[in-house]
Amino acid sequence: MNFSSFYTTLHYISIFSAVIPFFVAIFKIKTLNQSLRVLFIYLSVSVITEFASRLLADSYVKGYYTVQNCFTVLEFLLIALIYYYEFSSASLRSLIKYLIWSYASISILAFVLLANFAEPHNLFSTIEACIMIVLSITFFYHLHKRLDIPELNNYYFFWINSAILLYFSTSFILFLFDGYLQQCDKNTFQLLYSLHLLANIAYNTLFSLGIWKFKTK
Amino acid sequence: MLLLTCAIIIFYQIYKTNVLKKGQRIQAIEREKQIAVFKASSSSEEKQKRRIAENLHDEIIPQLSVLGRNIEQLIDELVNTPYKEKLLKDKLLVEQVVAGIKEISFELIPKVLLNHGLIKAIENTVRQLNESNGSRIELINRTNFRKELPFTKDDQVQIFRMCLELLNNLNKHSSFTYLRLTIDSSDHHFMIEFMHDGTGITNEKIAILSESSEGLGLKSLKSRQIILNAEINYLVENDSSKINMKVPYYS
Repeated sequence: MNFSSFYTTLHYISIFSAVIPFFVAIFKIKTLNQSLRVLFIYLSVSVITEFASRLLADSYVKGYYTVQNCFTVLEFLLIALIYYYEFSSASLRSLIKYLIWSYASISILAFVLLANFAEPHNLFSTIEACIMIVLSITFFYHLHKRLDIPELNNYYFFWINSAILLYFSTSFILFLFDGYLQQCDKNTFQLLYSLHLLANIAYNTLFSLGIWKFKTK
Repeated sequence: MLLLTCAIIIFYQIYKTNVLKKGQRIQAIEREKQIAVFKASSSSEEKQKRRIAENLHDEIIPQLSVLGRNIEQLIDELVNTPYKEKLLKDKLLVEQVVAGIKEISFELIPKVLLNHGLIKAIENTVRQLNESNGSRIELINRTNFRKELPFTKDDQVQIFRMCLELLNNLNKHSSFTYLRLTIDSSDHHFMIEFMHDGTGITNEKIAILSESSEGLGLKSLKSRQIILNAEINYLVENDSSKINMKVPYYS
C-alpha cells in the first residue's frame, strides 16, 4: 500500500468520521443542553459540508470554494455560540457576542464587496482558528480557576474543548501556509494535509466522546 | 498535534492534583469549624455546670447544713421523747443528702482539678473508686508533672472528663478486677494507659457503638477527642486489654 492510497483511505475516514458525533447526538437528542443542541446543528452542517465538498471538489471547483467559505463563517458562528452558552462570566459572554457580530458582518461584507465566495480565501479561516484557540485556552483557564468539576474525564465539555483546541491549532498552521500547500508537489501536499485529516478524525472522535459523556442533572 | 495532546494531558494531571488539594483544604476548614463548635458547646456546658455547682455549694448545702444543726439542737432538747429516734433518722437523712449534693457538685465541676491540677484530680478519683467498689485500681505517674501541666485549665477539664468517661465505661462493661492507670509523657504528647484484666473492646466495635444512638457517652468522648486532637486506641491482647489515650501538647 503506497502513501497515496493511504492518504485516500485517510481522506474517506475523515469524511465519514463527521457522521459519528452526528449519530451520537441524535441518540442523545432528548437529553442535550443548549450548547450541545448548537453543537448538533454544527455537526449537521459539518456532515452536509463534508459530503458536498467531496462531491464538488473534482467536478465543480467554484461550488467547492463557495461551500467551504460559507462553512467557515457558519462554523465560527456556531462554535462561538457554544462557548457563549458554556461561559458563565458576563464579560466573556458579551465579548463573544461582539466577536460573533463582528466576524459575521465583516466576513460577509468582505466576501460580497471585496472578494468572491467562489474563490479560496484563507484569511477568515486563519482568524477563525486564532479566535477558537484563544476561546478554548480561556475555557481551560476558567476550568482550572474554578476547580469545581471533581472528575474532569467525565465532564463532557472538557472533551469538546480539547477537540476544538487540537483541531484548530493543527489547522491554524495549515491555513497560515496554505499558499505553500497550493504550490508544492502532490506527495508533500498529501503528507502535510494528512495531518489535517488526522486532526479532523481526532476532532470528531472527541466530539462523540464529549456528547456521550453528557449527563443531565 | 502531539505536543498539544501532551499539553492537554499535563493540564488534566495538574487539574486533578489541584482539585484534590482544594478538597483537602475544604476538609481542613470544616474540621476547624467542627472543633470551634465543639469548643463553644463544651465551654458553654462547663459554664452552666459551674453555675449549678456554685449554686448548690453556696445556697443548697448551707441551708441543708443549717437544717441538720437545727435537728441536732432539737435532739438535744427533746431528750426523753418518742420523737428522738425519728429525729436521729432525719438528721442522718439530711447528712446523706448533703453528701449526695457534694458528690453531684464535685462531678459537675472538679474543684480538685481547678485547685490542684489534673494529676491530683485523677488520683482523687482513683482513690474514691477504690473506696466505693471492690475492684483494685492502681495509678502510676511516670511524669514529672505534679500540679502544673502544659495544658490550659479548660483542656485539663476535657482530659479529666475523658478519663472519667473511660473509667465509667470500664466499670460498667468490662468487669475488671484489676486496673492500672499509667500516666506518661513524651516530647509532644501526654499519655494515659488503662490496662485491665476484664473484657476488652476493639477500635472497630467502638466505631460501631459511637455511630449508634446508644453510645451518647462515646459521642461526648469523640467530641472531646476532636477538641484536643487526641487519639484513643482500644486494644485486646491475650491476657489483658488496653486503652491508650494520647493528647498532643498543642491541640
